[in-house]
Amino acid sequence: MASARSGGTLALAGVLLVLPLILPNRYFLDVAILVCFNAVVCVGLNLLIGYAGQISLGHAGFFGLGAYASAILSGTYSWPPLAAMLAGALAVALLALVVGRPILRLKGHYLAMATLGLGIIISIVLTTEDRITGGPDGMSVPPLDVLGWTLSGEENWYWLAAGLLLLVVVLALNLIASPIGRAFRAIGSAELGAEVMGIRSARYKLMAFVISAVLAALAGSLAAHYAGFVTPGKVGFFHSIELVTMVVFGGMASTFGAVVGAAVLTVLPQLLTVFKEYEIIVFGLVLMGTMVFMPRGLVPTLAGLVGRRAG
Amino acid sequence: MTELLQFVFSGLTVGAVYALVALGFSIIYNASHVINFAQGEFVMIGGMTTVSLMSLGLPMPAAIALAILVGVAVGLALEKFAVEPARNASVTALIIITIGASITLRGLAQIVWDKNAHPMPPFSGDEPIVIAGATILPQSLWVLGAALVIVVALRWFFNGTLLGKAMQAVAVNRTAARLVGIPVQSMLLLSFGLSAMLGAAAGILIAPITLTAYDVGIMIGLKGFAAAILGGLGNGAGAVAGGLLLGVAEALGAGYISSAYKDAIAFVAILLVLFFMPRGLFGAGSAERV
Amino acid sequence: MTLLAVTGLGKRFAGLQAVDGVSFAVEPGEIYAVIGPNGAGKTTLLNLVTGIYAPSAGRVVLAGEDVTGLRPPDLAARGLSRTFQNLQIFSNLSAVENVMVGAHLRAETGFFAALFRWRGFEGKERALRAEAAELMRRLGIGELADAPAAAMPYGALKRLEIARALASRPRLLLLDEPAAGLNPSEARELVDVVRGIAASGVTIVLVEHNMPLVMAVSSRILVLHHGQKIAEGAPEAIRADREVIKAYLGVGRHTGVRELQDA
Ligand SMILES: Nc1ncnc2c1ncn2[C@@H]1O[C@H](COP(=O)(O)OP(=O)(O)OP(=O)(O)O)[C@@H](O)[C@H]1O
Ligand SMILES: [Mg+2]
Repeated sequence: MASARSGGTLALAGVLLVLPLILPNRYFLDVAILVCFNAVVCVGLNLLIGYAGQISLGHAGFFGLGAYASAILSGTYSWPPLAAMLAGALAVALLALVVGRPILRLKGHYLAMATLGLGIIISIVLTTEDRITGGPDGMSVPPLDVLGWTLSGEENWYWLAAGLLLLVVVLALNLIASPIGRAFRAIGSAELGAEVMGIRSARYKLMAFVISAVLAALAGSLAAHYAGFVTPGKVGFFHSIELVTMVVFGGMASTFGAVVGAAVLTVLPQLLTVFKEYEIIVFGLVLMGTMVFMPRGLVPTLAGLVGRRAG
Repeated sequence: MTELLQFVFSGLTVGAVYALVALGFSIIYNASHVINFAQGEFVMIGGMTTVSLMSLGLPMPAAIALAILVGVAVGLALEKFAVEPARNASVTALIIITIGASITLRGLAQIVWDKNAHPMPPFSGDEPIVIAGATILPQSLWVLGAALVIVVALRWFFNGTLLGKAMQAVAVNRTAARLVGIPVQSMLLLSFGLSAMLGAAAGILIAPITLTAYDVGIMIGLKGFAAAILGGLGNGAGAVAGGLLLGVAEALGAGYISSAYKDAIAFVAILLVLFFMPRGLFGAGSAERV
Repeated sequence: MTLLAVTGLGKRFAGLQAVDGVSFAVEPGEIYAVIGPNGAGKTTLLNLVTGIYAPSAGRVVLAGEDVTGLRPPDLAARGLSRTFQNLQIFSNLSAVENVMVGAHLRAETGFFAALFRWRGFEGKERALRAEAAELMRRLGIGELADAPAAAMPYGALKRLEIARALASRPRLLLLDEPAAGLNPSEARELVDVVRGIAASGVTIVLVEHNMPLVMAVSSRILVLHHGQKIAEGAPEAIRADREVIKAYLGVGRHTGVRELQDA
């Protein structure tokens, strides 16, 4: 177990190190940065969905709140970007804590509905309060500047994004292998059994919810600074669905699966542009096909195949 | 007072459409425990197909009949080729599958038709009728009337016919239904066909009031899901009540609070209901068995 | 002092009185069996005692403390543990991790200690794992420690649940049909397993249809029928009780009166 974990981490570190050397130009580096941000969100979301077994169709809302907190505080109010980012993460943590309590009492499709509603409410507020947020047109975001040093250029951004992803993956793996992670997984597979073993499931579900929300907010803040712009587009229902899809596509309850899912589904639309107007159809078919033929997701299915061959 | 009545009229009209879509969600859920996120696309297919068949010169009744058939065919194909092969997938995987289907259908619609909004003529006249000072469009009466007929017909189907009772048996206990010889698989197929029919009908009924386009299914689908949850998933009467309540709440919220926050108000209302009634307004409160 | 005292306990489901005014007391060190035909209310009784259902009537007192209506985690903290008739296995954990979850209340660490593996975290985890593996060995499933729980055979899962419950170091252990689904030789082995647990100082409430097992290990037996207590006493007395025989004759399947007599 421990060796598989460190092996995977080393492989991920290797790929992240080599990537900028083999990517032919900045456009690809740009995609790689987006992959890292999405992967950070997905690793967090996977704690909630894949391990603790609680679906959320509203995490783009938290991503958006992080992005807009950075945009508004560091832009409109000229806060230092780092302070804005932390304030955004803190606010999202508080929101997740407050709404998570009643929401996580719901189960299955009712939970799906409630989180979906939460995400949509956040996205409507951000779109409607146009005096603060710029409405549907969005608003610009100042560059990320840390103690007078301004982060710019795809290379630098790549190292930041890749470093963050690696850190998040290592910490997530540590958490999953700890009593806390076992509690998440126990709740995800047999909540009643977990409760009888002394696990206060409400508390652990809330923990997974808050962690995943905060990671989404942080990724949102960074993505906003990187793009220099935020629009409500990345806050809506579709982005929430996209995030869940990445998690499920890569493989639920697999941290590397979440990373792979984020990578494939971020890169795929770029590749599918060759299909021109058929792009969306192909994307939909790929989603359906993967889930029909590999309902457990990409990484667990492939790992199972390799394992069977080796064993 | 007039104003209130006006809001209630428009709320009930939209609510009736939500109710039909919510019934579609419930029927499929009962047969298969799948939430079909492509439900809204049937609404789109119903409206868009009718519009384009009429533009080809078909008389309206024929266009409507054909559009419903197209919707049903798509529903059956969805079950056969996407849901049935994924029988052992988790709930979340099934959600992704139906979302993939809805993305595909929307993409197809963009190519078969276009990205524009299309008008559909009302079934009969567009002279508003005045009731107690408030006005109501004849098409609204069509929506309400047709929804009522459909709901009554469904009630009869589920309680009065052998086929309907067989479907209910599958909903209550799938294994037992299989043991007494009910072809569970066919019931599943039937549930998708039936839901698609409801969705397409809803899309055709509302199109003269709201226009139709390749992407109308998204919001109507979400609202239909919300209505089904509000009423208690799998509860037919609850779905109808949930749809009407949602429509009226939305219209009142838009009228008295803020029209920009119309959709947000609907979802806040649902969240509040769920906080106090975690299985919806009319959901069964059965304890988990161990 | 009495370890578990139940008085007038009742549970009503829509239109069905599943448990009806049941009273009994379990003394420390006992193996106290609960039997009764299918649907008699045995599992419901355990669910009431372990806080899974809130009773509609009556009280549950654990070691002198009124614990009626407390939630399962609160009861776990007070030394109560159980297994499940229909299994509540953590199928996405390995077998040994399942048992480690049983020790959750002793294993809980701070959030940051877990994130960064601080301050003796590794050592604590290793000790926990060794202890869990040892428990599995005691139950005869030691070789399966690293198996994914999802891939284990049914009989092994039943033992895994017992190991997991023991990992919480309970004062009172409630077993819901540990022999169900086991083959006869596996079921016979349970006699020693149950006695061994009791010998280590754990009081046991045993719900079981397997009469040879019940008769072999229990100090007293409670008989439920239609949610009501129809008899209580030593095994020999229960075997001869007319009410009990009648109850089983009326049902006549799965748990036949023959088994009751032959055991
Ligand atoms: N959650 C529930 N909701 C409704 N009825 C229930 C519930 N749980 C149990 N029952 C009913 O209560 C009665 C007692 O069930 P219980 O499971 O306690 O019986 P049991 O003695 O454990 O039977 P068995 O020997 O078959 O395990 C049964 O009629 C059962 O159908
Ligand atoms: Mg039982």
